[in-house]
Amino acid sequence: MSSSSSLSVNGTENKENQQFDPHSMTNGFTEANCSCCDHHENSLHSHSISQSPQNENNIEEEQELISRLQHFTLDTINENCDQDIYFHSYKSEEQMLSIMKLISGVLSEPYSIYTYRYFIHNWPELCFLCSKKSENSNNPSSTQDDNENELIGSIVCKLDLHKKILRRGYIAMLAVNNEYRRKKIASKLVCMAIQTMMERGCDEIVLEAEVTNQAALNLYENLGFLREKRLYRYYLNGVDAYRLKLWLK
Amino acid sequence: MSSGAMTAVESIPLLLTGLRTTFNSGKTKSLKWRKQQLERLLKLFDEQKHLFADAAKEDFHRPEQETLLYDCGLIRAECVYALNNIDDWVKDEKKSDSLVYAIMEKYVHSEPYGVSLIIGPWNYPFLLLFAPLVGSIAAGNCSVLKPSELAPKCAQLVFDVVPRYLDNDCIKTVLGGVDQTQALLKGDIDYIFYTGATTTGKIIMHAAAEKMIPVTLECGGKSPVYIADDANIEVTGKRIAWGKCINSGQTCVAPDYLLCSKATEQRLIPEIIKAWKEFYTENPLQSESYAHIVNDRHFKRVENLIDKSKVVYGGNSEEKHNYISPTIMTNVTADDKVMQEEIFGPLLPIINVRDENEAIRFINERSKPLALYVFTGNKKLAKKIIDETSSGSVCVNDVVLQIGPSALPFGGVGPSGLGSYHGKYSFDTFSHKRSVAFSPTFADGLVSMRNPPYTKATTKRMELIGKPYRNWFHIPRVFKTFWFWAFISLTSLDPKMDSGMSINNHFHQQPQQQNRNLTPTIAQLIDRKQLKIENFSNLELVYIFDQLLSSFHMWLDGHSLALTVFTCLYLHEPDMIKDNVLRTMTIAYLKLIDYIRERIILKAGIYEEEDFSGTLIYNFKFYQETVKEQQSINDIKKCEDDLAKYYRKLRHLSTTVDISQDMLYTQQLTIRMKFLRHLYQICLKFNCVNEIGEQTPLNGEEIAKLLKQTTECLQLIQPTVLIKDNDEQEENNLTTAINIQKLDTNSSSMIASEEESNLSTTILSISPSSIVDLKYTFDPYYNYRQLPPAFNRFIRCLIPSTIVYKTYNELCEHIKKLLEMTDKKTLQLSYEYFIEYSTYYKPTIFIRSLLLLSYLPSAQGIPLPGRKIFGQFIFSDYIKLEMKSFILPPILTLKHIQIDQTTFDIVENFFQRSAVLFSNLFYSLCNNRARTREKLSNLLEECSVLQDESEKIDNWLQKFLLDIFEQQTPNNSQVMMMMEKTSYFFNFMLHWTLCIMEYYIYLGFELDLYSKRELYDLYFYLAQIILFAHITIYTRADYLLTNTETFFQQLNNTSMTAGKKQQKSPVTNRFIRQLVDNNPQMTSDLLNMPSSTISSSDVGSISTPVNTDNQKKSKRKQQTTTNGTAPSTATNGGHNNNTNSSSSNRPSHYEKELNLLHGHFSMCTALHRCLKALEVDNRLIFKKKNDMSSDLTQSPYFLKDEVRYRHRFMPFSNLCAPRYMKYHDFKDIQQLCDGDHNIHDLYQDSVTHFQQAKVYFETYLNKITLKHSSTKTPLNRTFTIGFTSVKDVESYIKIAKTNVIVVRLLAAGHKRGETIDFDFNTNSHYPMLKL
Repeated sequence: MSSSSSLSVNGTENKENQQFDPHSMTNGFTEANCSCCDHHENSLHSHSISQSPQNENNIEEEQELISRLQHFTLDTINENCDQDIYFHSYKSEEQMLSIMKLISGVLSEPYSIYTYRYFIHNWPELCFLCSKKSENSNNPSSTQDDNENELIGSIVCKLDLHKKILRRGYIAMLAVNNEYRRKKIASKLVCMAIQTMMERGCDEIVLEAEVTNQAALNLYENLGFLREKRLYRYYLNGVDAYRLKLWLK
Repeated sequence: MSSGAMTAVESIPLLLTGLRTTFNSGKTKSLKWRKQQLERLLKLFDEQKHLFADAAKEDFHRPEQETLLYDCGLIRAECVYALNNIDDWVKDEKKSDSLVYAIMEKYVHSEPYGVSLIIGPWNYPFLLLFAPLVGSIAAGNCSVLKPSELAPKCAQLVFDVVPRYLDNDCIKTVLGGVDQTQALLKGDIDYIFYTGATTTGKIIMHAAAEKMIPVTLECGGKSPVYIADDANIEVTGKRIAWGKCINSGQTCVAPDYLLCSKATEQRLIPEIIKAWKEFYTENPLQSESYAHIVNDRHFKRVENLIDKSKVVYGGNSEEKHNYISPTIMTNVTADDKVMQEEIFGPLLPIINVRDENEAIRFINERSKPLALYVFTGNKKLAKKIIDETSSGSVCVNDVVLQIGPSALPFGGVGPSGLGSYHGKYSFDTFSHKRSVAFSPTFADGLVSMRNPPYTKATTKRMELIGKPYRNWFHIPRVFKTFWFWAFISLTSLDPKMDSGMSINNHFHQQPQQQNRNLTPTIAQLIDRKQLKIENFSNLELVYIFDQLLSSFHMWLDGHSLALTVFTCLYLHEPDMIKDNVLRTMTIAYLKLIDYIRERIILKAGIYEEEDFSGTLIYNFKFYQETVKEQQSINDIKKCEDDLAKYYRKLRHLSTTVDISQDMLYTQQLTIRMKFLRHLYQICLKFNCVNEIGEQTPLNGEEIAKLLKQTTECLQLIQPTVLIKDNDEQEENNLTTAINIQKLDTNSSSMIASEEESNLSTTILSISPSSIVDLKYTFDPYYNYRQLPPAFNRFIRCLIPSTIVYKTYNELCEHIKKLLEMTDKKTLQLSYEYFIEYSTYYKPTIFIRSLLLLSYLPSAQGIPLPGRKIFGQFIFSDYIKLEMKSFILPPILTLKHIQIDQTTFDIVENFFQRSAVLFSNLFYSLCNNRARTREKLSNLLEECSVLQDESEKIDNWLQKFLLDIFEQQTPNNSQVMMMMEKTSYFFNFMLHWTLCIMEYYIYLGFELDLYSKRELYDLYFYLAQIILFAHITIYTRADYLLTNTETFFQQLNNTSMTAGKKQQKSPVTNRFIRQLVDNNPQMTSDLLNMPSSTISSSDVGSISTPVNTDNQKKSKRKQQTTTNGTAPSTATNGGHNNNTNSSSSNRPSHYEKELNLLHGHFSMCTALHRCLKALEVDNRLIFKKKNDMSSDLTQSPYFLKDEVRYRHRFMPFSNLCAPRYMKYHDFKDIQQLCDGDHNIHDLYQDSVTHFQQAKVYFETYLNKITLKHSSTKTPLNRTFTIGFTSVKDVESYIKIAKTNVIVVRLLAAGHKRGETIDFDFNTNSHYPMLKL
């Protein structure tokens, strides 16, 4: 299949948008944190009480998974040969432009700025970035200043209620700069997102990928995502897509 | 007795002033505050739930669980519901009205009342206080809580805990009794929400009336329970016992008294007592689950209601603990004390009524109750009682539960209450609905008509425009996304939404070249002489025609109208065109599009969000009324004639001048017009309507004739190709940019064929210079402003007409193939045909719609069971015939039996219902293949329901037939036995369920949905559950057909001869008569058995039938296991079967099907064995990594096998047969099956099975080829049985052959340690193993 050269991962939000509640948008910009999913302490808590004792098991297992994830994330940091690469969370609007630049350079689908804002403003904590320290600032403390450093990877997600019951995470965009492929950066970003979502009591995580994008399919399937559906002519270029899903519960 | 602290009466006005100040500050109105408070409330009832439970227990010995479940749980549910929906609730509700008000902006705004007072009762001390509070907060009010003083500990707790969680400025608690309440009522409040006794309710309402404060009153009343004689007494007893005694009867919606017949009473009482004993033991006083009466006063009151002489159970009391035991009283009359007031205690009086009419009368003679309960198995009866009585709420076959769903309002009527709440209704209760209208000043000219002085004319006009019309136009909500994006674009007011989009890869690179902020109208373009409307050369017309046809093709392929055909400007205003041919052409296109859109695609209703063809029309005109279909066709014909005349003129001239080019163009144009006419006529033949508006069945002959003419036209057409004559023309960017990479994968085959076509067909080359005048004819951007901002703006480049004409050829082929459908006379054949069609033709939405409409005309119009196949045959008849030929059920086969009305109704009802299932099945198969799979999983739900039904019918029919046979004194007891034991209906349903399951799983393979790690589970489930069951079914059906057929024939004949003594005996079986009457042309088939020539001696020759036992599920499982653990027996069995059938030379009814199924079974078994062996052998990549759990960095796999299994087989989980195998069972069984063997055995077994599969498939193939060679029809490789086509079988054989070799190598230890890959390229169903 296609070689590693194009790891443009997944694509349009076009169809997924139909599930958006237009109203959540109005609040979205100003009161992003009001949606009940984001009150993770509450939701996790109420979750544990509302279910039978059998599920306490699951919670433990979940904890274990989360810790496995943490473990994994730590490991790759150390193992990563390139010391200049570091991972961090989204902080401010200033990063938006570089994210857009990165993603639109890699993905096949065009997004408007509103799509970016919709995701990143509503779920800033689910947006993770990977940067490379710029050469002129070798000072280790300067990692604070992300804007000077080159952005080489990013993931944009959301997490909200699907059909009013399921807590569904959605990976909207994932992109890694061409020059930095095969360094497990994408896997790491996905793991970071999965971890955050699991901490928020997520039931399942979904995303779409082109049927032809073997690199992306491999990446996600190694993490346990399965092809749940085929979406007929999902992308604007007429290609079918798979809906990949990771069931957590 | 209330010892708790009291709020000082004097402080109350101050407290209210404080709340008023807060409210006026607007704090509570903010959505953020409301949500935050609801979150806090949720937290409160989560974190402190045990405190609440303890308090209620202290107050009146309330069981903790009841507080946890019914108070805390329900409050949390209300909070979550409100949080989930509040965004919707607070939105202003936009309104539309008649034309005269159209320019006003109108909406309803929900605003809080201000300070609301919530008075709670003691029986549910928290629920009935806080559930209203949720509404009050959600609506944005300040609130005062007044818990009941009768439960002092609870009240104190509320007082203590509320300020710690909720906003103390906005939500206050007042403790105390009558004085405090009165002070509150006199104070500055805006809304009263009261829950409690009716008498107090009246006082409250009175006080409110003084100040005109709106109130909601939730009171009680005697809620009756009517138990019909047909109710399920066991369940009824248990439920009443529960509802009566939760909270010791102190529940406002508790069942108060029972109404039933004496007989029912006798049966019911033991059940209730049994339940009580189960719930609260023999001595409820000791039970922790039993609440006591709240205080002495109430204890005395309830005790006083007990009439010892009428007590049949209980009646004990204990004053020290305020305890009264659950009590039943019988022979109660309306005059008894217990019937005078709401009991509010654990007493259950029973009043005898003869029937429901008396019960209704009894209920209606009393005050309207808060709740009414009906227990019955008869929905009609329940509806009747509901219709003829009134109450706050009703629950059928249960009690109390109706208050649970937040989507339902809860409240009383009459003396039982005023107003309602829960969910959205709570929000509405606490909100004032305020009308807002903005009248624009710019429209004063319109409005001034109303001003005096009045004249007759203005009055009349005002009357006219002010008149409300029926069925006033509503804005259709086509796409949710549309509104979402419309909202975004409006709020942001970005003049060019495109700015944020990176449009860089379409052919049209000069979007900004002209100033397009204002799109010119067609008229403007004509004025500017940019758009030509007359004096076209024929070449130009040919060119336009081809471009239009190409865009039309793209539209058919599922793209938006606006981006395809309507990029041609002429289509917007055909009336402006002066050229006759062009105008006729454009109008014909418009009408054709409209017909396809409206009468075919929308009618069939199988379009999805990915199909843009039908749904959005952007106000384009389609000449629906002005030009009739026939007229349009005549117009084209006339154009053709004119052109032909012109051609003759040219030919005449050609002797003198060289005008061969012109002649050619004229000729080509004529043919094109003819082609368009035929295409239009073909479409009109589908889904056409007769004079009385009914769908007419497909007229295959006429269509075939038209198709022939169309293909003839297509052969004559020379497609146009733009040939650039020199480079300077290049900037002349006309619409035919051919960019092969941009074409999607589907058309890759077309590209290949294009090269061939270049060689074979003659091309009409056009130089760009000759069509310079048509520069503006096609403008891909013309409709951009009409599209929703996020709409797919990319236009796939027009497909060159060389290819387009090829695709129309294909289209004709598809339609021709579609006509074969009329030959499919049974459901099974149609099912297979649909699968074959969708697999091998990959039809577009247009063709799929045609298919569905031809099979089931008017799919969306008529209610499902009324649909007729091909518009001729009643669907349920078809199912009967299908069932009759499948398994020969006696009820549909015996001609001379009397069927009574009940049996007839039951059976008929079943067929009506299965008609829904089957028509949905065909509907599903017409969706695009990806969607089909989803729809099939939904169908399985319906299957499970029908399976239940069929089981019941079988039981009924077995009894029914037994009676008949006893009378008829049959002569063959062996066959009789077999018939009695067979579940005909169930087997039939199971057969179809299995068909759907098989296709569901194999479609998953075809769509490439499964990952490697799932293969084992899938093949195991397929083989051991699905295919195994299916083989059993077919074998049984086969056996039945063989053995009962002669017997039935005899029976039919004997009764015939017996009848002959009188006269020719009529067919008495109503089903057969009905079938014959409805389908006169099928009579001969119906009356005779499925043709087979077996002598009766053959019956004995079959030694042991393969299991005719009746779906004993445990047994089935056992079979599966034994079959699995001892594969050799299974194989032997298979072989025996095989040899048996071939040796006895008897044509088995289901020989082909069985061969295929055995083949699949062996294939799947071989594969799962092989997979197991590979796993043990460490030859599977994913397993290897997963096992090394320490090395997480390699591949952390987050999905648990059990979770994966559960989700993947979810659609099967509700079926009663084949029963869903739970993961643990699955693990056990596969351990038994594959786990105990060593690698070598497993490999060996796998080889045997592959070989066997090969033999089965080869046998099948030989039979088929033999049959075809004898009938001299060529073997159609797509010919399908089940889901398997001949082509599939050929590749299966190849796969099996290869796999045998590979597995042998593996078993020998070849390249040990290396992993194995699976290659699904040969056939998507089964992999070829690759070393």
